Amino acid sequence: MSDPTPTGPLPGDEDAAVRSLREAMAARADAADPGDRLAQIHDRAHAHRRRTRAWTAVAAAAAVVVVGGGTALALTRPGPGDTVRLTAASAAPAPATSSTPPPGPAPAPATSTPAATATATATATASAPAPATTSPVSNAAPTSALPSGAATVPVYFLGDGTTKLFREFAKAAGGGDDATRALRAMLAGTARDPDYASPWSADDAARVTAVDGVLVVDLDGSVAATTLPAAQASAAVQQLVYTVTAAAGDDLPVEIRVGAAAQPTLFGHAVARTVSRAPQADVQAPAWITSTSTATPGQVVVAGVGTGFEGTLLCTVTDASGAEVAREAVQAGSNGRFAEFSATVPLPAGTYTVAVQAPDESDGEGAAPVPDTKTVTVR
Amino acid sequence: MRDSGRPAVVGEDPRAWDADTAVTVLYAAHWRRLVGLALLLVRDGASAEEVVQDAFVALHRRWGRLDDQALAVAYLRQSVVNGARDVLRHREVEDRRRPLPDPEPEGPEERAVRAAEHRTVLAALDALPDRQREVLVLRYHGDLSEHDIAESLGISRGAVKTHAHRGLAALRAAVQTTEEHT
Repeated sequence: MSDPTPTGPLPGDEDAAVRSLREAMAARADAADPGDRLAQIHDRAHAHRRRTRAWTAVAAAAAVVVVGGGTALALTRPGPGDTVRLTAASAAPAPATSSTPPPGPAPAPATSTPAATATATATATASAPAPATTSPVSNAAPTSALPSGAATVPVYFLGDGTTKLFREFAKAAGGGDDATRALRAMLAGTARDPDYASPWSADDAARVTAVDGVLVVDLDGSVAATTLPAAQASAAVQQLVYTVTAAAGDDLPVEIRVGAAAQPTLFGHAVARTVSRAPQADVQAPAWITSTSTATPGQVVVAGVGTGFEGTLLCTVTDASGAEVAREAVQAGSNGRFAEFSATVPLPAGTYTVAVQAPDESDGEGAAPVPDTKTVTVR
Repeated sequence: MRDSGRPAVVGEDPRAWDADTAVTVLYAAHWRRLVGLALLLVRDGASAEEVVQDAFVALHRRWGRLDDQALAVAYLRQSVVNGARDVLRHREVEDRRRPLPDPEPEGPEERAVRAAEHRTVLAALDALPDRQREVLVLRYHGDLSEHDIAESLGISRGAVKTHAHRGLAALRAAVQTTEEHT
C-alpha cells in the first residue's frame, strides 16, 4: 500500500466518476420505499416515557409536590410567554417550560437513571411504590425480537413436480416481523412463477417467534392435512424452514407446532422436535434465475444463483414454437457452493423461454434435471 | 397521550416544539431522505429503516437537552451515521452466519435502479472498505463538507481526502473494467 494517494481537494461534478456516483446513489436512495414508522417511533418514545413518568410520579409523591392535572393537554398554540405546553401533563419534566426553572441538576431524572431502576419502578403505582425487594426478574420466556419492516421477504417454493426449492421475494403485506410475513406468504402459496408450487394451505394466523435460540412456528391444524410421499413431505418442511430462517436472517433450528402441540404430523409424516436447514445442495434447485432484463433491444440478460459440476450450468433459449435458438454454458459455483451467474444472449425480437439447469451428465440415465424457466420478450 | 404529538397548529421555531411535535414534523420532512442515506451506508433496506427509526427515538429522548434544537436535523444525521457504523460492525459477525448467498431482492424498485452503469458503480461502492464508502456517501450524497465529514466520522481532514481519493480511484477502475469487458 505504498501507492501515492493524491490529497488535493476532492473533485466535484466536473469529474465523470463523481457524476455517475452521485446519480447512482441518488437512484438507489430514491428507490428506497421505506414503510411508515412514525407510529412505531412515537410508541417507542412513549414506552420509554411511561417509565419516565412512573419514576417521576414516585419522586413527586415523595416530595409532596402535586402537579395539578387540570391544565393538562391544552391544545393551544404556544405563544410568547405562554406557559401552557402541549404535553404539560404527559411530560412532567418538560423542557423549556417557562414556569420551570432552567435545567437544574436533576431534570428528566429517568433518562439518566439506570434502566434497571426505571424498570423496577415502572410497575409501581404513583401512590404506592412497590418495595424493590427483588431485582426485576424476567419470568417471561427469553423471546427475542425478529427483524421487521423489510420491503420484500424471501419465500421458498417447490418446483412443480420436484422436491427442489426455489425462492421468490414477495411484498407480503400485513404486519408482524419479516419471518411471520414470509411464513404466511409461503402458506398462502401463490408464486409469481407459474412453475413454482406449494403443498401448504393458507393460515393467516401462523406466526414465528424466536425463543431461546429456536424459531418457533405456530401453525393451524389444517395447513398440512394432505398426505404426501415422504420425500415431498420432507421437502415441504425444508421449504418452511428455509423460508423462516431466511426471513429471520438467522440459521436457527425451527420448531414447528401445530395447534400448540410440538412434534406434529405434517403431510402424513412425523416431524422432529426441531428441524434445521438441510445442506443447500441437497434441497435447493441447482439453478435459480433471479432476474431477466430485456432493457436493451436485441438481447436478454439472465442472472441468477446456482451450482454445477465444475461450476457449469446450461442456459438454453427456446422460441414460441419450442425450437431451441440458443444454448450456452454459464459459470456458477461448484462443489455444492452456490454462486451468482449471469449471461447475455443476443436474440431477435420475439418472445422466448429462457431455462437454466445443471447439464445432464448421465445421458438421460439420472434424475431429470430441474430447470428454472422464465418467459421473456425481447424488443 | 398520543394526540399531543399531532398539534393542530405547529409553529415554525423548533425551539417552541415539544418532543412529540419535533419528531412528527421532522419525520415528515426527513424520514425518506435519511432512510436513503442509511441505505447507502448499510446496503439493506430493513437495517436502514431500523437505524433511522432509532435516530428519531433518540432525538425524542434527548429533545429537552439538545443544545440547539435548530440543529435537530444535524443531530438526526449524526445518529444515522453512528447507527450505520454499529450495524456494519455487527454485520461482520452476522455475515458468516447468514443462511444463504441471498442476492438482493429483485423488487421492481431494485430493477429500476439496475441501469447498467448504476449497477456497476453501486456494486463497486458496496465493495469498498466501510470507511471509504462512508466518506463518499457523506460527501457526494449527503453533501457534507470535508470538515463536517471529518467531525462526523472522528477522523482527520487529511484522512477524509485519502479515503475519498482511494474510493473514487476504485470506482473508476471498476467502471473501466466493465467497459472493456463488454
